Amino acid sequence: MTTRFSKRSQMELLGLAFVVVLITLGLLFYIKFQAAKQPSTAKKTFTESQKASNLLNSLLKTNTYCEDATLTQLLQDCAEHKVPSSQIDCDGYTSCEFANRTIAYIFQQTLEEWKNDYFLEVCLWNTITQQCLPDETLFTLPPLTTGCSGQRESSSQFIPTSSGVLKIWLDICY
Amino acid sequence: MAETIAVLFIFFLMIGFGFIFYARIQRTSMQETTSNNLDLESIEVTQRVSFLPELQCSSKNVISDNCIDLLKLNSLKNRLTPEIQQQMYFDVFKYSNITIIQLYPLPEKRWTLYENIKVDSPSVFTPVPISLYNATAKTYAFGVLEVRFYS
Repeated sequence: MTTRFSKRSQMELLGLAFVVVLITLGLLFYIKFQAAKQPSTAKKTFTESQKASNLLNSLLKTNTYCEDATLTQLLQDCAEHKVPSSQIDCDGYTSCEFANRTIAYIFQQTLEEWKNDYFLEVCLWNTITQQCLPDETLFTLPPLTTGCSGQRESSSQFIPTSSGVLKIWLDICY
Repeated sequence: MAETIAVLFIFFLMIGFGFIFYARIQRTSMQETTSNNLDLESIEVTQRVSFLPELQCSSKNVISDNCIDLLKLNSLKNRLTPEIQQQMYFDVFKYSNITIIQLYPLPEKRWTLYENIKVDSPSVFTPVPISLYNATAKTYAFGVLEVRFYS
């Protein structure tokens, strides 16, 4: 009699253990799928891509203090005449220096305020190899950086100059 | 008998735990959906401001993207009384705060175009870089369109 009761209770305990195992498995599956689920990036993708392209377009159109020239004109002059002297004189600065300082100021007021890391490169572009010509990088911002380490949203513009095609490349890292 | 009660007790306890767990997950998922909807609505409002015919730069009926005409901006700002904001622009901008800032050349200038703040409500901030066109001087300034959207 005692053995029969003991066997029955053992079976019940086994059933209970089975239910616990099932629930645990379900929980594990759920946690696994929840962890793999990516959070919605609709806004992030939209704002970052719009930021990069709008920023570059607006930036190049902007008229500066230097003879009212646009940043596109300053960069063109910078590529065509480079150092030590440029055709456009900006109160003692060359067009390269003035363009660099103006872009750095605008980035400080925008991307740095919004806590965005960025990488800007201005270089003469080899249209055949689709790369910057060696030693023809006019400047990078922040100086001496090589690009984003993680994900990025990019935008680029090409400006024709008498020295070749000038490429302005902006990466917003996130 | 005692054993059956114990088994049933544990069984219901488990169902209880499961229910609490499910309710929490549902709550998190609902919060996520609400936050996504807020993001999407804020993008919608930002796009509406960016492409508002009352502000967009145009020349001979050709519209330039990502550009605000300063003459149009000043004119609209002067006409946007709180009554007009409420009557004509609430459907477009809903509860939001729309500001346009000229960052370069200095001095910095600021235009608050629309202000309909919902206090104690979650909000989303979207900045968009834009060009500000001065049709008199035919020059472009660099600016930022800031939209804070409230749910």
